[in-house]
This record gives sequence, C-alpha cells and structure tokens, in this order.
Amino acid sequence: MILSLNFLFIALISGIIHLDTLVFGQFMISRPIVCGPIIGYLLGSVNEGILLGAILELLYISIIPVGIKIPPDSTAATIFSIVCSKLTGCLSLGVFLGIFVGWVYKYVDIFLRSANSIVLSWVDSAKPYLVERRINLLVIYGIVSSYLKTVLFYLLFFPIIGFFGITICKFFTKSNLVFNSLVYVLPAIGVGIGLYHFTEK
Amino acid sequence: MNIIFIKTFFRSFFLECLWNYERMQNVGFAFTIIPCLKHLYKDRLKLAERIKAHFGFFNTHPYLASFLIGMVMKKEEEYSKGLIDSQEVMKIKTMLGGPIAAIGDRLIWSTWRVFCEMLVISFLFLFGKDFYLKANVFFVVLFFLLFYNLIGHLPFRFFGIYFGYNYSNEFIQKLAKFELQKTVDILRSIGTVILLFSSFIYSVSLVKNKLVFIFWLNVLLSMLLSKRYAEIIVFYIVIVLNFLLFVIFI
Repeated sequence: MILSLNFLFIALISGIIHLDTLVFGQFMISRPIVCGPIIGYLLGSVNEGILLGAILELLYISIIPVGIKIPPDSTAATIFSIVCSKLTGCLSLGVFLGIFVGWVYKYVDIFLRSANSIVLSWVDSAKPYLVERRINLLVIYGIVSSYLKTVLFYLLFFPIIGFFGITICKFFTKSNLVFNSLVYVLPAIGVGIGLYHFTEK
Repeated sequence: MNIIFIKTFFRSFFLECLWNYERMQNVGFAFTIIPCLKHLYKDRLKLAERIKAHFGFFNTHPYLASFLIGMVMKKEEEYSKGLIDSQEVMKIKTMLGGPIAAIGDRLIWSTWRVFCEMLVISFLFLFGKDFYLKANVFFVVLFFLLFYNLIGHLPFRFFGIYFGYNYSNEFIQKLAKFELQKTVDILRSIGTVILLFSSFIYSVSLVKNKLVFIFWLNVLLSMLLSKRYAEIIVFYIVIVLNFLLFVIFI
C-alpha cells in the first residue's frame, strides 16, 4: 500500500517535471542532473539520485531535439533508473532498465504529438468572437494532456519495470558485485560520448 | 508598448505547449502574439482574422523564437498602419524560422546546454568516485539552473523580443556581427579541457579499486563507437562488454 502511494506520488511529481521538457519554459528542470536529486530526495535516497543523475546526464549530453526529431527521453530514463535502483538495490541495473524506458517514452510522446493535430480544426472553424478563447483553451489542453500522459505512463510502467528489475536481480544474485562495480565505470561511457560530441566538427 | 513586451515574454514560455506534426508551434505562437494583436486591433472581427492568420505553420528554436516574435510584432504594427501587406508579415515567419532554429540548435542545445552540464559534472568529478556523498547537491543543482538560465536562456527570451522589434529590417546583418561560430568553438574547447581534467581526477580516485585502466578503456571505446552508433546503442554495447569482462575477471 505504502509502495503504491509512493509510486502515485512520484508519478504526480514526474508529470510536473516532464512539463519542462516541452510544454512550459524549458528551464532544464527536467535534465537528469536536476530531476535526479529531486526524485532521489523524494524517495529518501538523494545520494543515489545525484549519482544516477550525473551518469545519465553524461549519457544523454549529446542527444538534442533537432528539428522534428524526437530523441529518447532523458527525464523518464532518470526517474525510472532511480525507482528501479531503489526497488532492486542495484544502481547499474536501474540505469540499464531506465534507459530502455526512456526509449519507449519517446514513442508515447510521438503518438501524443500526432494526436495534437486533431484539435487544431477547433480553432479553424471557430466564430470570430471565439477564436481567442479557443486558443487559450488549447494551451490549457496541451498542458493537461501532456501531464496526464506522463502520469499514466509512469503508473503503468512502474510495476512492469519493478517486476522486471526484481526478477533480473534474483536471477543474477551472484552478479550483484559485478553490477555494483559497473557503477564506477558508467561515467566513462558518458565522458567518451561527451568528448566525442565536443570534439567533432 | 512595454507592458505588451512583458506579456509576450511570459506567454513565450508556452510556445511549444501544443506541439503537433501538422503546424508545429502554431498554437503557442498565436497565444504569444495575442497581446500585441489586441493592442493593435480594437475591432473584434479584424482581431480574430489576424489571430487566425498567425495560426498557420510555425517552427523554430523556443528561446531564439523571441527574435522572430519581436520582428513579427513590428511587421504587424506596420501592417495595421497600412504600410505593408499581410504576406510581408507571414514571409518573415516562414523565411527566418528555419535559419533561427539552426542557430539555436547549434548555439543553445548542442553548445551552451552541454557546456553548462559539463561544467557541473566536472565540478562533481573533482570530488572523486564518491562525489555523490561529498558534494553539496543543493548548491550544484541551484548553480546549474541559475548559470544556465540567467546567461543562456532568459536574456534571449526577454531581450530577443526588443531586439527583433527594434531591428526587424537589419536583423540578419546584426546577427552576422556576433561571430556565433567563434563563440561555439571557444565554449567547446573550454568544455573539452575541463571535462578531460576532471575525468583524470575522477579516474585517479579509482586507483584503489583497480578500475583506472578500465575507466579510460571505456572512454576510448565509447568515443570510437559514437562515430558509428547512436548514444543509446553505444551505452548498451559498452555496458554488455563491461558486464562480460567483470564476470570473467571478478
């Protein structure tokens, strides 16, 4: 029961954090280095939050939304990594599964953006005195639909990823030492990707 | 007009609120420009017509969009006085949206944002492998948000509107004087040096765990793989190789 409430609480907060990626502002609150410690703090493990936030920040450092290209979601990857790490007690397994979820979230995002086109005709067909009001309502619709999409996605995937994480962890019990040692070299992948990104012409 | 600029600035945060594949940022753009249109057109029919005119396709970089918004505001003012025709206003949006997006992607997304993130992570790496236990999280997060937003985000959003409005006709010439490529190159060079230095310190802290060699091997491997594969693929290849390596040797 407490676990379910925790999931619900994290999903509701994650929905707000996710608004920063596109819908409102882009102040970078949704970047792993910021949302990692926030979610870590809420789950009572701020140190894990900052460690995973830093690792994932490096991994996603060169992934940028150019034009209409929608990249894998770094926020979903970070939040799921932390939740999965908390459930399994294994940080690198959390990152492994979290990155997969970030990739899945990208397709949910693409679906919703495609669906957004449907409501545009609502303004096109509006009578003159309704145009401004309908645009204001579309803005509210954009915020609410994006928030609900994220919350529902998290509520659906928390149990699935939690189940997978715990099962994998049981299967690889003997490899827990390996998983934990991997955490120290994970930043190396990010450093490599970051260096390549900054040195390429 | 100042109050219109401030209203437009706050509304510009919603530019991508209903991003769609058909007309992209059109809802956000129409929402942002409404205070200016309401100021210019007191007739409700004309106002509705102009809002609908701005409901067409629009896509650019969300921060640098302010320049374009300012320019459109100026052109809309000229149109309301009968100095230009409606097509002249729309031409600005379609002609400059793409180039401004390209500048924004290069300058903000792939340089300024990455530079700020590297700065923060490099700072964390200075604490060694246990950085997450030693560093002050609150300070790190706050520094990142303030540094990033106060230098490379909010000034573009706020002053971009003024700049676009006041220099709508000479915008391209003014922009060319900024030497954007030089700024990008300098930030990238500084970022690379800082990251290399802090990674070296981080790797030294791994000496006790005998992981220094593996750390730098992974850095090299990731760099090489990045040339061919997407970042996520690189991650999974390297992590699986490491897993096998650790299983064999530990």
